[in-house]
Amino acid sequence: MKKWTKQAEERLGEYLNARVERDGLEGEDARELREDLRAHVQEEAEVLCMDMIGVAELERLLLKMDGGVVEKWTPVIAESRRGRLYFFGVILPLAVTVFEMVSGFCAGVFFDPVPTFLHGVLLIAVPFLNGWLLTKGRAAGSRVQGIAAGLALAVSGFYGLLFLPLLPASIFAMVFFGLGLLSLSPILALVAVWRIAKRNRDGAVQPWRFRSGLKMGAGAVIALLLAMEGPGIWTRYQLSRANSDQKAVAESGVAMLRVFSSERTLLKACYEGNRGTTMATDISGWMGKGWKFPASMVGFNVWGEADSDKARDVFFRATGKPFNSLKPPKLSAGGLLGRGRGMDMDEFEFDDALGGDDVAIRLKDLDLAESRFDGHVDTASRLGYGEWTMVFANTSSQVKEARCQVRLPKDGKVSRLTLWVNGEPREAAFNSVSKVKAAYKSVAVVQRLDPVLVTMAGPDTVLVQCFPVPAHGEMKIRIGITSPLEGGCWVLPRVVERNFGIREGAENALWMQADAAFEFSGAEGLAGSMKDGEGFSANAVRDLGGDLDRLLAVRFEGLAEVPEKVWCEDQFAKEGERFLERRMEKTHRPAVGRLIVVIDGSASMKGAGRRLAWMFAELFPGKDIELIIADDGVRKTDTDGLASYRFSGGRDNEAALRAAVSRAKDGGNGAVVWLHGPQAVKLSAGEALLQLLERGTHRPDIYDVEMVPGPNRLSDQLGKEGFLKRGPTLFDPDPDLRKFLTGLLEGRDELSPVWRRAQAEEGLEGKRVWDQLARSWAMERSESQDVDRALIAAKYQLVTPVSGAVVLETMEQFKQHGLDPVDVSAAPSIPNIPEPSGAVLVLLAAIAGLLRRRRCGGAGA
Amino acid sequence: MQDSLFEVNDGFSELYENWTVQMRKGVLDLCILTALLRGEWYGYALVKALVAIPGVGVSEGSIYPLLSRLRKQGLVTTRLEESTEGPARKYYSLTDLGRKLAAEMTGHFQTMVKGMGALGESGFMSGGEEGAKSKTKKES
Repeated sequence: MKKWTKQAEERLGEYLNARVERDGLEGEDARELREDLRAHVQEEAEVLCMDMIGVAELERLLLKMDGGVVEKWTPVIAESRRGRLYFFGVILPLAVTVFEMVSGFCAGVFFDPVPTFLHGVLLIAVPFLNGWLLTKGRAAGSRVQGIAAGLALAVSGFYGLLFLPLLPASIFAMVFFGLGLLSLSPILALVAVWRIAKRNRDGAVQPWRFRSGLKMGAGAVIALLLAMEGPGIWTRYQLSRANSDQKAVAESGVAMLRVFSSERTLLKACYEGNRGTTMATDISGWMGKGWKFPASMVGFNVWGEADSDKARDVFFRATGKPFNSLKPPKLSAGGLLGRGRGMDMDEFEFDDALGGDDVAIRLKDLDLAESRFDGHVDTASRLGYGEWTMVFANTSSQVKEARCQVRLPKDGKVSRLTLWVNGEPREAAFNSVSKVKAAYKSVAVVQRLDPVLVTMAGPDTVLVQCFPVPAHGEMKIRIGITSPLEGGCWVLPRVVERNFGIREGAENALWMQADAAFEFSGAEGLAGSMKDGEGFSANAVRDLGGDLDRLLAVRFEGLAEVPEKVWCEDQFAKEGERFLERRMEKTHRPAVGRLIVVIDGSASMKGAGRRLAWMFAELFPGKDIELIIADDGVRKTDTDGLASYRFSGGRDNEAALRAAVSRAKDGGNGAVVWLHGPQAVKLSAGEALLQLLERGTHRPDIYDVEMVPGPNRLSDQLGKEGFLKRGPTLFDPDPDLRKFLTGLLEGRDELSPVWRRAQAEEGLEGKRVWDQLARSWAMERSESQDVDRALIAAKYQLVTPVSGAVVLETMEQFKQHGLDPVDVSAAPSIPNIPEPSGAVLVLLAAIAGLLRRRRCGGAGA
Repeated sequence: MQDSLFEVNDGFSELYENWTVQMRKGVLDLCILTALLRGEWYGYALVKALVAIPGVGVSEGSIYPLLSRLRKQGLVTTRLEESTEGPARKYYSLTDLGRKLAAEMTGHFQTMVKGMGALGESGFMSGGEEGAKSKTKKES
C-alpha cells in the first residue's frame, strides 16, 4: 500500500468534501460517494511507480478521475455551524467541567461526576479532543483522528447517558427559569461530539482507518470505564439483591458480595440514601437512582436508591468489618471552593443516631484531637484506677455528637466522669440509666446544651456520648475507670467503636504509676517502669491512632498467688460499717462436663482457624470438645474441617450459639466458649437464644472470648441480660486461650473475695489501702441480683447495667432532673504517688525537728 | 470529416454534443446492467471498463453516483470484501429485478438497433416512399 503525504491526504479530503457539495449530496449519499471515489483514487495510486503519493500526483489522479474538472475546495461546513460545534463541543463542556470541579455543584445534589482524578482527565479530554478535531486534527492521519473521535464519543456518550434522566427537568428549568444548562450540557456535548466525529470521518482520507481508530478509542474508554465503574455497578446490583425481601435472593446477593465487592461502593451506600448523611451518591449509585424510573417505563428493573441501614448490615456481612471502623467515604470529590453545595461550603452530614444508643456513622470533621491517660495500680488491693482525658474537636460548621464504645478492663467500671464547661471541670451525677438518659436527651438533644453521658453498652463496655461538640470548637471530657487486675495484669481501656476520627499527628500522653515495678505488655517501644520515690512510674507520648484500639496492659511479675488481706475506710458506707476488709479465698471450680466451642466464621477470624484446629487436635486430644462454626447457620465440624474452613464476610453467630446452648443444656454441666471477632450489626433477633437461656433448669455458662476486638451487638445483648461471662483477655492469644480451656476441661482454682465490715479500724487485719477497694465491693454488689444494686452503684459512683453517669451544664439542670452531681472531694483521683507512707512522714518530721533543734543549739553556743 | 464539421459549424457541434449527452444518459444504465448480466464486478474495474467503451465519454468519477442510484433503485446490490492492501473492495451484482430489467432493456435495445440497421439496409432514398408508407400504416 502506498504511503501518502499529510498534505495529499488533506487535499483528498478537501476534494471529496467539495465534490459531494458540488453534487448536492448529503448524509448517506455523500458518505457513499466519498468512499467510492476515495477507493477509486487509491486503486489508481497503487499502480503509480512512486512509493509516496504527494499532492502533485494526487492532483493528476483527480483530474483524470474527474474528467479534467477539479473545483477549488470550499469549506464543507458553514461558519455558523462550525461556531455551534465549537460552543457545544469545546467551550460548554470545558466550562461545565471546570465549574463542577471548582464548585462540586452536581456532586452535592445528584451525584459526583468527577469522583477520581482519572474521571477528571477523561472529562477534560473531551473539549480538547473536539477542539483538536475541529482544527489541526483534520490534517492528522485517519486512524489518529478516529481514535480521538472514539475517545471523545465514548466519554461524552457515557456522561450523556448519565444525565439523560435529568433531560425533562433540565428542559423545564431552562424554559421556565432559565436554568438547567449545566445538566443539559453533557447531552448537548454528546450531540456536538457526534457531529464533529461524523464530519471528520467524512473528511478522512482513509475512512476504514478512521473507523478502526474510532473503535479503538471508544473501546479503550469503555474498557477504562468498565474497570473504574464495573466493580461499583456489580456491588450496587448485588447490594440490591442482598436487600431483597426474598430470603434466597438476599442470601445469594450477600454470597456474591463476599466473593467480590467494591468496599468503597458499599461504604458509600452506608452513608447515602434514606438515612445516610446525604442524598447525593456516586456514579454507580446514580445509575440505579437516576435510571430507576426511566428503566421501569420500559420494563427494566434497576437497583434504585440505597437503604443506608440495610447497606450497613450488608457491609458487615460482606466484608466482616464494621462500616464505621473505616474512614468515612468522601461522598463528593468536592471542589476547590468547598465540598458540595452544603452549609458554609461544608458537606452536610445528617446524624440520625443523635442521642441514641448506637455509635452509628463516622462523622467527618469530628476528631479526637488530644488524649491523655493517667493510671495508678495498687498491687496490694490488686486494683487499678485510670483517668482517660479526651478532647474532641469539631472543624465543621454544624454541632456534632461524639460517640464511642469503650471496652473496659475485665470487670471494670466507670467510676468518674468529668466535663469541662468554660474551662471549669464539672463532675457527673450517677443515677439509674433511665434517669440519666432522660436528662441527657432533654439537655443535649432538645436544649442543645453541654452534657456528657456514659452508660453500659455490653459486658465491660460503655457507650460515651458528648453533645454538642461545638462548631469549630472543642469539648473535653474525662472518664475514670476502676478495675481489678487480671492475672497480674492491669488492662488499659480502649475504644472499640467510634463515630469520630483521629486528628492527624495527635498523640496520647501516657502516665502509669504503681507501688511495684511493672512492664508494658502489647506495645513495642514502651520501656518499663522506673523507680520514682517509693513507687514506680513510666510515661510516654505515643501515636494516638495506634493506641486507641490497642490491647495495652501493665504487667506485674512476682505477685503472690493469693493477695494479702487489705482494708480501707469506706466514705460511702453508713455509720458502723465505715471500715471494709477483704480477704481472698481460693475456690475450686470443677471441670465442665461438656465443652462446646463456637467459632465465629467471619473474615476477621481468618488467621485463627488453623491455629485453633491445631490447638484442639494436638493439645486436647480425646477431650469432650464439640466444635461449631458459626457461618450464619450451624456448622458442626472437627479439627480438619476447622482447618480447611474458609472464613469470609461477617457471619451471624446467633444460630450457632443457640445450638451450642441446647447442646450444653443436654445432660447438664456443659459450658460454651464463644471465640469471635466483631459482630457489628444485630443480624438476628436473638430472642430465641434469650428464651433458651432464660428457661430450663440448667443455665450453661457462655464464655465470651474476644479474639479480634470490635463492637459486638450479640454480646451486648446477652451481656445486658447477664447471660455472658467475659472470658480471658488474650494478651498472648494461644497460650492464654490454652490455659483457659485447660482450666475449663480439668477444673481450676479461682479467687473470690470475702468481705467484712467494721465500725473502727481496730481489729482489722492486713494492709490499709485506697478507697477503690470500697468501689470494688460495690462493683461486685452491683453485678448481683440485689434489689438495691442501682442505689449502691449510684452511691459508689459506678456505671453499671442499671446505672449511668451524666454531666450537665448547670446545677439547675441537675436539680430539674432530680440528680446530684458528685462532689469533687468524693470523686476518685490518681493518688500523688509515690505517696510517702505515714511512717515515712513521721520520720521526715522527726528529722526536720532534730535538724532545727541542732541549728538552734548551734546558734546558742 | 467530423472535425472539419465542428470547425466550420458551431451549431452543428452543439447539436451533436446535446445528442451524445442524451444518448449516454440512456445507454450508460444499459451498459452497466449489461456488464453485470455476465456476473459480479469489482467497482473500480467496472468503472474502468465502462469508460473504455468507445463513445461513452464520461469521467470515471461520474459513474459512481450512477451506481449508487441503481443500488437505491434496487437494481444492483453491493457487497464489501475486506482487503489487506487498502480499502474494502465494493463488488456490484444484479438483483432479480435488475436482471429482469437488464434482459428487457437489452432485448429492446437490440431490437431497436436491428431495426435501425434494417432501416439503413432498406435505405430511405431507395425505398423511401414505400418505407414511409409502411411506417404510416403501422402507426395508424
